[in-house]
Amino acid sequence: MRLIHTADLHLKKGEKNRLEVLRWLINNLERFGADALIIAGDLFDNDTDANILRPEVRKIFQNTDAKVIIIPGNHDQHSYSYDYDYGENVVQLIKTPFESYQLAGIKMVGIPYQEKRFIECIKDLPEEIDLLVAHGTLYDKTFIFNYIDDEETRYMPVYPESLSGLARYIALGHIHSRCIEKKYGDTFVVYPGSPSALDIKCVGKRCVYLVEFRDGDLKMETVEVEISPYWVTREFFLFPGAEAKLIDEIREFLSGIKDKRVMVHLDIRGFSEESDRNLKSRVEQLIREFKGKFSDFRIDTDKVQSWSQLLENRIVRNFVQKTEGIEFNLRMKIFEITLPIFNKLLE
Amino acid sequence: MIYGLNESGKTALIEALGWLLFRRSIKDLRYDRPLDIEIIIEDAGHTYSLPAKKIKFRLPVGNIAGLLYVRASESAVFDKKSQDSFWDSIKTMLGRIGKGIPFTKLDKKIFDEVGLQFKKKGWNENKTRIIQQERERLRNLKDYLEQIGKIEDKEVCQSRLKDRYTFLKNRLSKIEMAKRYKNYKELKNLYGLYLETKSRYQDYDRYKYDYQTRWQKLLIERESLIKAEENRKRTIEEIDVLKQEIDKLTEKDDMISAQGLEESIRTLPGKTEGWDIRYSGLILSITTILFLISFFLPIPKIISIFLFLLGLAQFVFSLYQRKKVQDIDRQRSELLDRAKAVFPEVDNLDQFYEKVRDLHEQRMKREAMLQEKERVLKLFGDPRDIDKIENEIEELRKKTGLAEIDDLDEKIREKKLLDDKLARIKANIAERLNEGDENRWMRMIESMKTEPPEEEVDVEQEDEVKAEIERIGQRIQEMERDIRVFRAVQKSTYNVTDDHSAFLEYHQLRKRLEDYDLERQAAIKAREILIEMSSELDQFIEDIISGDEGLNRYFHLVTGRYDRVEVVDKDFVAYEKTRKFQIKGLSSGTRDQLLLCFRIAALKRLYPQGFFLLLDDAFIFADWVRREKLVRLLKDCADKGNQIIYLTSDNHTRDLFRQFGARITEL
Repeated sequence: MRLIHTADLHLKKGEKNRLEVLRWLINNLERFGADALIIAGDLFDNDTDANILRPEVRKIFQNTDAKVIIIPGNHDQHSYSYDYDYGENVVQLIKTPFESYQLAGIKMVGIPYQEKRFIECIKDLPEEIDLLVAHGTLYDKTFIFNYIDDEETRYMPVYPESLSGLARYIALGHIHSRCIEKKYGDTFVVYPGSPSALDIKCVGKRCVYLVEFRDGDLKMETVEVEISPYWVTREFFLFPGAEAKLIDEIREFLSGIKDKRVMVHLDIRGFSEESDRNLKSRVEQLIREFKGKFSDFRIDTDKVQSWSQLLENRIVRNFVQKTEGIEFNLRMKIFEITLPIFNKLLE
Repeated sequence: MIYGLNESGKTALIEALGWLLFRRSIKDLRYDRPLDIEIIIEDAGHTYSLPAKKIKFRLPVGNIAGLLYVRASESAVFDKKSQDSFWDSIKTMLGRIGKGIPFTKLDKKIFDEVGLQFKKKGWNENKTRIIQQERERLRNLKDYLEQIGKIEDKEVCQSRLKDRYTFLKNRLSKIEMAKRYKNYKELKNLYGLYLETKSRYQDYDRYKYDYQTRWQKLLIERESLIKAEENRKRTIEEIDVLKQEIDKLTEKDDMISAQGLEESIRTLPGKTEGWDIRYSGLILSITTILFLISFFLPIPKIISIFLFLLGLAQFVFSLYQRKKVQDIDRQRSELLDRAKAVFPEVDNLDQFYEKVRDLHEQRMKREAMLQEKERVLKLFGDPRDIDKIENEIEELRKKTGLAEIDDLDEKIREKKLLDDKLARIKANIAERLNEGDENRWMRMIESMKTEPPEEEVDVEQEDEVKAEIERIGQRIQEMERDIRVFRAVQKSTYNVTDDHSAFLEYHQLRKRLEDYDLERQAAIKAREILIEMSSELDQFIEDIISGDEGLNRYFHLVTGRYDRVEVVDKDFVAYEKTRKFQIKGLSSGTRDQLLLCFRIAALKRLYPQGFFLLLDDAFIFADWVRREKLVRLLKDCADKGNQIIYLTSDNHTRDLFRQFGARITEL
């Protein structure tokens, strides 16, 4: 028994690429030898889009004989019903707190997104589940702090302690940006990330998980979604007087990227001795230079503070020059503290 | 050169310039806000016009600006009020970035901003308190976050245990129902058995234990009577035999008595042997010989005669005795013959005598026995009692319907068994109902009526189920307590409203605390840089004073007297060869000249690309010789690309400037 695990496609009217990714997944199920496609929530971006896109999605699903197993996520919580026709091969696991389903000897349970605590949903779970599908935020301290600023992480907290021994493979959905693999006891817990690059947080090649259950063994591997563009993001630090050098560094970095699917997001932060206008002009020139090379290209300079007038002051300039060679985090902090104080004195 | 008489507007003009160029405050101006003023500035091929909405270049402000502008009779380059020494004042002025404190003291502000103690480089009291609070909060949150997952897990476990608990409770309830039903059924069956046994027992009513006892007693009595009769008969026979024996003995006794045998024997002297005549003859012979010898031997005759006589006497007595024994033997022989007539078997009189004694004893013995037997005979009852006993036994037979006592024994044994059985059943029921009154049993058992269980349950598992219920119950309570305590402290100790906020706050706090360390390092590093810059500034000021085109040279050029100027104890000291003059000891004119020279020397270093200088009658206290030297100095500056604007109402000064080629504007 082999299946493809994905989640968070966020299909939306007008976002044809996302629909294409779904089509690609369905069309390639046979190539992967998969008997089923598991969608762990948020197939649609919202319930309205679900109503609009359902006929088209049904048509896509009809292109395969494999089972398509869907649970609702927080974005498409009300997009499923036994009255809705997604195709005969589609299994909607929508009963709360959970719904069981058996496929080729694999015992699976779907926990649709619901506004209650995860532990309340799992208390009556049957034993010896092979596959558990759920949509929520895994509060694992090894990675959750990277995402905790996102309000989306408020939805359905799931604690690692609750997952150990719950099933052999737990197919999660909700975190889009990248795939995350964890193992608690003998239980594998996996976020595949969104197969489409939904936003600039979706960094790295997009992928889905190919999971194989064979005679008590479980194998899994990532499968790249070849048609999906993906974001490459990089943070650059700017120090006063190093504007030209920074532009050169960025140029060198961009020249090194060969994959045409790449969408580039550069986040520049720091302090500039040039005026906003000058810096903007440099950045615009860079964008013009590389625009055709990438499917999307963004440079964010919002976190750059321009202190051009302050840095005309000979004392301040002298101070800035004397910080050269200091480790850049410390140097950033020095500027963060001193430049506003210098500036206040000049007001 | 701008020349004008008093009240021609020189001060108004210079105030307007200062206001526009150096952004001086209106309240510092004597003539209020200047109107209708425009300044055109040319710099590096660009022309700028002031006032302008947006200034595209930066003009000096603050104290540095003060270097460029000297009001009449006010050549001081620093604010005297706030500084301790000239050196500090100059340093403050040159180190001042804007209107605020100089950079040499900026590290204090940076440390304050970050929350560090200036000297110890440690956190100040307020920041320490904040950090401690935040660390404490971080610890609490960490503790909370470490526990929340476990608590969630506990809640799942508790929920599952509760389900199990409920399941087991139901099972126990079913077991108890089944047990109640079983108990009811058992009691009902037992009660049925009780009734049946009781009924059977009633059939045995006629077999009374008394009958058995009585019957047994009667039998024993009858047996006893039969035996007594036999004994009586035997005793009579024995009495008869005894009587016959006594008669025989009496007959013999009578014979003995009639012949007087007994008396004769009793009176007959006893058998004696008598003295042996041979010994007596021997003794007589000896005494006779002795007597005869006495005649031939010296033996007293008296003694021999006496002994002879004694021997003779004893011989005679022996002969008498011998005769007497022979008589007795004869009498005895006669008696023996007569005795043999009674007891032919006797051989001698002693035997006869023994026989007689035996005869007496036998007779006495038999007579005693006879008496005893006769007494016993009297004790035997009346033979007629047996019939009475038989009648009574017959009566018992009729009552019990049984022919023999063995049958009754069997029945009684059966009855006893039934009795025991009934007693056991009664005890069992009484114990199980806790009620001794059997009349109430039926009603009580009926009140316990229970429906049979719907499904079969293994009541044997009751203890196991109860133990598990107790174990799970305890576990649930422990978890409940842990969870309750945690949830209580979640609000009170942790002050956490929801988990996401806790995670977020923890993340932000951790970053902030890490940032504090970086802030501290940054502040310390900034101070190091500022100290380095301060040291460089000292060098810079030193260079203004003693470097090429410095204060020493200019002051010597202007005064022609003082060789050099030094800074001693942070204040100027002017030297004329070996004599030294504190700045306070110089005349006000000389002091103004010294400061003007310093100003020019400083501006040359501060603005090597060129500067401008506004002087409002700055030479007013200088003598004519020094005025000329000062104008020459200014001319030299102007020739090097700097701009000097001098305002005066003094004709001599105007002419001097004209002499040196200055452009004169008269107001």
